[in-house]
Amino acid sequence: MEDVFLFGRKMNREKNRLEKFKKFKKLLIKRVEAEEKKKAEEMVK
Amino acid sequence: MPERPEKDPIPDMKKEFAELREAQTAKVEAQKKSKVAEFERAQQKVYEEAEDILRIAREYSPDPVKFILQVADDYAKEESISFLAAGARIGQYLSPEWKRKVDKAVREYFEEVKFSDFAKSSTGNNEIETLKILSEEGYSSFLVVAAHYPNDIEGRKKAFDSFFRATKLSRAAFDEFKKDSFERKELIVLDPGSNFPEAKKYIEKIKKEGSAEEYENLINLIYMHRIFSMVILRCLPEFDCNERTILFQKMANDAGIEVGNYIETVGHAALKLDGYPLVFDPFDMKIRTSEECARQVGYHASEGGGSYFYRDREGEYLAEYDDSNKYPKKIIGYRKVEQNATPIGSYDDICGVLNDVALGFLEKGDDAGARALFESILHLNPDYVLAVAGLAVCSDNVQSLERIIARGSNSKEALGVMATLLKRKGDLDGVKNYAEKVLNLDPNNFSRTVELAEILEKKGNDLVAITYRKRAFELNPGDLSNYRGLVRLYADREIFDRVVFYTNWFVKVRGDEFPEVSENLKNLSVAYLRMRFRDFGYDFNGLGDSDSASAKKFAEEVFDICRRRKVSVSEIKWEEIFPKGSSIDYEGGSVPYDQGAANLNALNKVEDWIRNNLK
Repeated sequence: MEDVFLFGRKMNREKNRLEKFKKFKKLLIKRVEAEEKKKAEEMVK
Repeated sequence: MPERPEKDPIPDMKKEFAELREAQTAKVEAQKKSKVAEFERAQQKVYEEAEDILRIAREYSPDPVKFILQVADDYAKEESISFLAAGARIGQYLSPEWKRKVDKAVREYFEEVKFSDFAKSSTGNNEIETLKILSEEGYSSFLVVAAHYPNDIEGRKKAFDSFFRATKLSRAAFDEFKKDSFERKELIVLDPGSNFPEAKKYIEKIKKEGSAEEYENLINLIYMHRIFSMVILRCLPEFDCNERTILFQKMANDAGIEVGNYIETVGHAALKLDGYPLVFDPFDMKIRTSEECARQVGYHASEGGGSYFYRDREGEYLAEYDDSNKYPKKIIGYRKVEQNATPIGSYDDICGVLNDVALGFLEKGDDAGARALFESILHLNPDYVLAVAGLAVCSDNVQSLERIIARGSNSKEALGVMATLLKRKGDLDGVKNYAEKVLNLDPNNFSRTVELAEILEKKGNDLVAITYRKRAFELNPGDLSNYRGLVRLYADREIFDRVVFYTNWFVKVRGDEFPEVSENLKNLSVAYLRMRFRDFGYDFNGLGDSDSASAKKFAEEVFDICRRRKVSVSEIKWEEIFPKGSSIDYEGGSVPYDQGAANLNALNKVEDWIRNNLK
């Protein structure tokens, strides 16, 4: 049950959140890649 | 803030209100159609993204929690925000478990935060940024609690405890109400005594023209509005109005509906007005749109989202601001704001809201304020019987009230108003008569039950007063003043087991908040035990007057056993443990006589009996 007045604002909030999550996921993948690269380098050594 | 104008405080609100309402309804309907589906899609996407993050962390790292924390640190650095702010922005939305973790960290932060640091340029900006993010991400109520106790860390921790306890309690009560059948909800919503004609028209229109789902949603929404203040009052009788409004906000967030959009606290108000179309502004007794009201207190709707204000009722700032003028750099002082603007929901019974405010004025003795409001209500709805009754109260006019009641408005509210009027006139018999009538219609009415008990006490009829006090205690065991009234009546008659019994109950319900009552319970129990032993004429050296220190120790230990086993000392049947004629003292005592061993033996017997006979 929601008050309809809030939808506009809540939706903007969700959209902003999605952007932030995408950014966070990018950093997560970056870290995964960096660590995998490090592991691979160690394997070569 | 403007002074309340002396001349003609009653604007022609009927037309104004009708126009506002029409515009508002059109806006709502338009929003309803386009936004709901879009909102749900956005929410689903966020959910999927969170799942994905958790999955990657699980698949990649043997310690996914640590891994996510590391990434949160990366994120905080990249965004130049604090680690905690990153948790509030991302972490809390990942899963319920993460939410709990972040909640805990945020609470710890607010328990320790020093507002004085805000003024330091080295840390101030970061602190303000963190505070801003935490508020945006749903932790504004935490800030409000912390701000109540700027320099008192212990007080603040206690406030957090009671804040969370009260939230939990009222959530439970709220959930109970939600379980009511639709028929019952409908009955309450459609109660003709409390419906503003415009609202009634709207409900009828939806019933006729809208879908069944739409009608059901509407009834549910109004029902929730109606019961909310009831829940708050029941769960938080000791909170001041400001703390209550904070809890409104907190529960509104938790329950998923927007109820308290106007938070006012000691010296600072957080305004988030866009959820409410209309606001009753008590400073000049006007109903405004939320935008107008916001402008009145210096809020600019164009800023969006809502912002914080640190002002007292004269409009003086109590905080220093930086350039953005949005978040306080330094809080200078706190002052209690007595008069709150009252937000009026889109489907609210506006006359009911105004009537409540007017009754508040009456209680404070501001008859002129109350009168102006009652007259305003009659401008909106000339048939609103409670306002007619209210006006009669203002002019102490019993006859006109009697006419209203005789005309068939035999509603419990009208009878209640009559009782209030007679109370002002000091007519105890009259009050009793009308309070009884109210109780016939509404047997669970707590305040009228207490009122009757008080009258009976004044008239010296304590035995019947006890019956009403007991009933009131059953209705609301957490009410301090009724509890005190009840035990006073018993104590006057030296009926100690009842005093202990009810004190025990009160301590169970609200003992944490009133340590002095818990302490008192111990003393009462000791006194009670000693009396019982004397009554039974036991040959028990330790409990005789000859050795009162030892008697007190024995009684205190019995009390501790009872507390540990969560039973009341008044439930113990002593004659079963120590049958008359038995001699307690020598049973366990060695020769020469050993008081300690005798006490221990007797205590073991008491504990065994409790274990076998009480839960």
